[in-house]
Amino acid sequence: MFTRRAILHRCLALGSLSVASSFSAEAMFAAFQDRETHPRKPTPPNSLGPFYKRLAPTTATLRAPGDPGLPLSLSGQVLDTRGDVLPDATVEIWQTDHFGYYDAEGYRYRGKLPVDASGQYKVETVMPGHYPDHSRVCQHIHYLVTAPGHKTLVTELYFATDPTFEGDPQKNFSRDPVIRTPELIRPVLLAGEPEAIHAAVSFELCLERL
Amino acid sequence: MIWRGSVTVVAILLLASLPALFAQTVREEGSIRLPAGVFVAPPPGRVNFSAVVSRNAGLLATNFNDNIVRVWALPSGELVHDLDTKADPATKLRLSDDGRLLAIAAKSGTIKVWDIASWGVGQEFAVSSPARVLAISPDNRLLAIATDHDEQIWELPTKKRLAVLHTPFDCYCLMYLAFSADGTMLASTDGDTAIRIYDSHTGALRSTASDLLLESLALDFSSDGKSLFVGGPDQIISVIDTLTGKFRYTFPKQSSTLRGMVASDDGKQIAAIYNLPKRFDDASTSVVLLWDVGTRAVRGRFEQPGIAVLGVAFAHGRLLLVGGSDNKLSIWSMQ
Repeated sequence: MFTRRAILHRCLALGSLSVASSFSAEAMFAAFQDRETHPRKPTPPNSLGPFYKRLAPTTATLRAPGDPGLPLSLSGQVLDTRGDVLPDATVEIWQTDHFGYYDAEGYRYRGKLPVDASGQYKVETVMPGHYPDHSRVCQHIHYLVTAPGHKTLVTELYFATDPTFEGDPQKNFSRDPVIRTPELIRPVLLAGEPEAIHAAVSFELCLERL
Repeated sequence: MIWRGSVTVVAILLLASLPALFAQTVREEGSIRLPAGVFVAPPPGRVNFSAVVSRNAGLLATNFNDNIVRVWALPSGELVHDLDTKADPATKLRLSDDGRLLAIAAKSGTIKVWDIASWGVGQEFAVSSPARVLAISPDNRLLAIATDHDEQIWELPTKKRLAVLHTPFDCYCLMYLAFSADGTMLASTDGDTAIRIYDSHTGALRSTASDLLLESLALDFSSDGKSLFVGGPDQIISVIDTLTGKFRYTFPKQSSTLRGMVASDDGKQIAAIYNLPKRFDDASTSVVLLWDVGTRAVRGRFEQPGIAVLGVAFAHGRLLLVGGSDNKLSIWSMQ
């Protein structure tokens, strides 16, 4: 029985695989195998607080009728680093309201929900506001994602439309000191009629196995 | 008529007793004019802004927007030392209770513990990610370091790591660490809103306070170590039994986030800093309330528009407050 590495060597020898890199074939084989085993990068962690509140209600609807702000649909899938769907995952979300305030008294704009059988989640909310202190903290939504047998993920979703990024989040992400990687900044899809505009953002969550 | 008259008398008596309830004298003891271009309030986007006061109220250490750590004598405001950290910017500072040691955590993950008298590095430690919180035990023997992934307890004289405490998850979330007065306990505010109290020398978990719904931003032990005072966005000081982790009682709720707290050495008073904005780290106007632990009543209040209070400490029967705005720091005492 051939090992994976032996098969790759054989492919290289027979011309069915070519390596175009300044690195050695061995190094490229190792990277190839690693990518096969771990096809997805775990979602980078980010700050939890300080306004996390325990015992959030189970709900996918954070937006109440008449709430100010741009309606926002959040959706995504929870996977592990091998690309397997995690149907037992729970996604907990909390954010500020349209004016940039967290609800510390109650549970407005706080909720948790189990994902469906295909690992999907969908939440109806509003675009969070900027903090009212005029700091450069970008609009964001907090996530706490758990799944049995996986490392708990605490992270934040940011929006590519945030004025702080001036349209170029890849270049300007570090203007918010909490953002360590542009991977957490997602594009925003605007849809609907001009008088009933709403936004949609997709945020896939990838957890590491324990 | 008798009833109305009684009410009037009671009202007059209450008004007359107010000055006694707030029998406080606030006096400006000194001020510090920072170098040009250095500001008390963190500029937008800056996180490594830090100002700490030693528990004995003898020193203030600051790290503002020029990456120079400065140590000032209190209450005079005289500059004692400064240290250029531009090559490896300081991220967190912590003074020992007696003001003899200053721990400086840097962006690279190193933590240097400086001897203030000789201004030499006593010990140097390295951790895998920049330290988020530091604490020095009252006897200057232990250093607690919180990183993004764990908490570590080191013995300073031997540079031996005594324990590694695992946080609930990687979340850049630990907000505060505090040793008990006798140095036997270390309390940490963890991201899952629980407060955990550990044996400082073994790292063994002694108790967990898991009844809090919100994270805590500040904590301090009572002088006898039997109680732990905690508070944060819940705007309440909760008193936790360190043996069981259960709530003992709470202080009246305020209208803004509590972000700093210190108990007096005799355990009779607590000074708590509340921020008026809802952002916990925004340095704008603060309110300091001086609480009587026995009655849970406010015995003093400090508030000046536009002044952010950066640190408080009890010393010699008075409360020392350090705060400021723009380019100036001021030192007040509250008798």
